[in-house]
Amino acid sequence: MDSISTLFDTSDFPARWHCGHWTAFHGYTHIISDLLVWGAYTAIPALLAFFFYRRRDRLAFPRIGWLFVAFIFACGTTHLLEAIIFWHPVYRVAGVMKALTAGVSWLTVAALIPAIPRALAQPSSAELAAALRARDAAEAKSRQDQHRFEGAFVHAPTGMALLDRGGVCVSVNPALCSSVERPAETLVGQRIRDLFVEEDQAPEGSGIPAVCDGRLPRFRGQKRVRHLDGRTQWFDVAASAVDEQDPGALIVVHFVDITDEVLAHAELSLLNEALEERIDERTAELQRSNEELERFGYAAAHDLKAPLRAIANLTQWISEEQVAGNAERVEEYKALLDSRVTRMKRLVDDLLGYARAGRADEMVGAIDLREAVKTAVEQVRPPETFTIEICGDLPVINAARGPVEQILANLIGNAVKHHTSESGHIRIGAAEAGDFWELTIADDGPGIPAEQRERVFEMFQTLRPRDEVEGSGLGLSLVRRSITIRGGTVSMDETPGGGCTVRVLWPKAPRLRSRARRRSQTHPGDVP
Amino acid sequence: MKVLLVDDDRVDAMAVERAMGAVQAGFDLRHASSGQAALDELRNGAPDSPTVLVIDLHMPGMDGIALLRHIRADPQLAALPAFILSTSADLSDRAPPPPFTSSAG
Repeated sequence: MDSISTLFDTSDFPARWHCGHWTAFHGYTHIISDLLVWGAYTAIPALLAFFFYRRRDRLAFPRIGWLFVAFIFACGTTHLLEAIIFWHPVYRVAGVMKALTAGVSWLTVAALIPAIPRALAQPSSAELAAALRARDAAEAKSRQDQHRFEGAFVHAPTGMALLDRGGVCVSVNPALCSSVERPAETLVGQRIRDLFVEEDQAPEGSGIPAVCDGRLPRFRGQKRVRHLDGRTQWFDVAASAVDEQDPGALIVVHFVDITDEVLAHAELSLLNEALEERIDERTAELQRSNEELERFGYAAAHDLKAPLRAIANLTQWISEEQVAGNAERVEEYKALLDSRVTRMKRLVDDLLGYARAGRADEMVGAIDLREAVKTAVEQVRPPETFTIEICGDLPVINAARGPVEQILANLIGNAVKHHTSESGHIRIGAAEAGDFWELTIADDGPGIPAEQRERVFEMFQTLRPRDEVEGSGLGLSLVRRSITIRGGTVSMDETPGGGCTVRVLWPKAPRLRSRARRRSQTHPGDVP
Repeated sequence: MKVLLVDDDRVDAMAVERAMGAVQAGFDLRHASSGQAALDELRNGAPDSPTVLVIDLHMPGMDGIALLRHIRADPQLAALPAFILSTSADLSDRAPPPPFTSSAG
């Protein structure tokens, strides 16, 4: 208390008014100025303090700020004391106050020195403004980029989806919605895997799920999506992470509809398979026909040589017997010679007929089968003892007249020729059998043993010596060739009660042949 | 010597007959015009049964090989000597031999 009272003790000094010769003006200039300075120096720290307080969390140099507040306030207070000293000489208080002011001021200086470089390092407001402008520009660009990428996603012509790492759709574009025929609301939140048909869903650890859990960098494959109405469509599906470095980045999946291509490919493979099959068929056919030709060559040579050899022998024997004067023998040999010449002529004629059986230059038209049978019977001229009965109605068929009459004449002729009795009965009938007419020619002759029924259709096959029944052995093979070439079949059967029945299946629609047929088959419309 | 000639062609049979006659007179030669006819004759066991067979290879119905198989399968006839005649003297004329299984029937 003593020291404080000493501090305020003014007894040792006169008031300033009394020190020297103050004019009122001079004195009050000091007093008023000091008071004004004090007022300002109190207002300034007050305002600063207010500002610093409000900005207390955002001050670059808070300590220096508060030092400024303190030293300005201290300066102001010394000025107040200077004014007071004119009346109350509190020099001691003023001294303390000045010392305080000096201390705070130097503290401020001390704080300022290290702060200056830091303050200099602070961006200027121009710099800050430039930085702000740059930031705004970057933001604008980023907005533009984002807009572009959103546009690319939304307006992409192919379906796209963004997946989270669980494989669930986060975002889908309209193209995907229309491709998979589902609204965005059902797709978002759904696992992409569930879109695909079950067989195409990749097992865990592969496919899109593997891309999602980071095991695969990317996936690409073909998958089917089943529409809500049950249809399926093929897509080329590709998936990869948006950012390969970021294990949490979204996965982008791309869908391209390739249904048409897949179908076209499948159609092409089918076509290829069919073509290969057809080539195999053709090759087999060709092989068969080659083998047939080879057999034909041997058989034709043998069968043509037989009468030739006989003619050569007989001519020689005739000369020998003529020399020997054996007239009876000469006559016998002459008759035999004649028969061999006839046999040879028939063989050559039948060979020619066989070759012609496959010719395509024929006029197909409606033929009354009854008329054709009549013409064939006239050709065969069976003996009076044979009856030929037409059973029921015979149809009008689509065929060429020549081959049909030739076939009928051959079959009726065989029935008569191979009959072992003097008289015989031949029944001719027809019935519908699907796409075919079934024509039957049944005789009551000796019949043909079951094991030989196929052989008789082979070339040069005769069952009895030619000296007993004249025949080239070509009749039935000609019949078969003529029928099969027109899309039909012929087979032999037993007549109930004895005899032989020939069955001919003749197509109702005439078969398109050779090149015309091949063209129509390779037409893509024909592919199943 | 009793010979049974099996040939479907009368002129060919005559040729054999004439050739044999030219070599030696006095052959007792008979002619069957098919394999089946020959077999029937042999099985009927006619008193003047042949001592040798001459068979044409190519015949309609039962051919020479088939006939020979029947003969060899028959214990009564199996020992009969037989010649097979073929008009396909030239090797290039010869068709591949027929499979035995089918000619046995």
